Amino acid sequence: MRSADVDVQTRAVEIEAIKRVVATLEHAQQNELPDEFVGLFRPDAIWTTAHGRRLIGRDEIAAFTHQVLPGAMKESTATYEVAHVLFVRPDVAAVKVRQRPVTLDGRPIEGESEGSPLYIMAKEHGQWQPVAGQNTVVLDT
Amino acid sequence: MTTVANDQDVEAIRAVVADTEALQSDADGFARLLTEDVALVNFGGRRVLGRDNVHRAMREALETPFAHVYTKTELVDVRFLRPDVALVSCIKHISDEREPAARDANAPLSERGSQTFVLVREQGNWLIALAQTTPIAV
Repeated sequence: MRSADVDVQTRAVEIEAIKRVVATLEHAQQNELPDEFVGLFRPDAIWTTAHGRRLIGRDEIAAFTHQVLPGAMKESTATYEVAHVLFVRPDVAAVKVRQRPVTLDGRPIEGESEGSPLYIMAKEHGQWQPVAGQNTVVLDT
Repeated sequence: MTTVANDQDVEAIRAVVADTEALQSDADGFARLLTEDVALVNFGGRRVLGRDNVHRAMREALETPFAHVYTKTELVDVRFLRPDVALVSCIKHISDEREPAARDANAPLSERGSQTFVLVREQGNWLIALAQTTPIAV
């Protein structure tokens, strides 16, 4: 099944549900809430950090997040905006997010690279859950 | 959580990953590994959407010094999100054989990258629906 096979109305509803998950990710990041962040993931999720390191399973993701998130938003933070959703199945989606560094009062930061995180989400028992996540820094060209 | 898939699927997936390496200098062959609406994010965070666009971007890249950057792909993990959807984690090993003059001294290529694929089974064939690579910081 291709993305086109998911009808327009269902797509719109699912995209809204996915956007709510990304909004929670953003909230957890901006407010430095590791448990809220980790709780979104499927238990067997794989997370690849922006430095290319792989964390396998929610426990490893939790340990890493507890280590790096507290204090990370002291000087600046980031906004997360859904840029593109590709349904590989009606209940499996690749979600590209535009991650923009901003000041604590929400102004864009000149000269800092954006991130291009990708989340693979699966809908389990009615809830979209990231099962893989990966961030790649967008280099200026 | 659905994880039912058989050894044949795993073997077929391994073969596709091996093909991505074997066909890295063959834009036509590589394009046949992809779904029509594939999404690809390369080392530099550049996003290319759709098989035709990937094909074109790859053909163009093979005309540049990047044709002399070779990669080996090491498969580290396969897990099935659905019986016909697989998440595949690989390490890409990069060997930069460009002429020194063609290299960007300010941005040397990382030697390794973490590459994630999503493969889907379409009419019995496993195809790449998504690929993203993140350079591994040294």
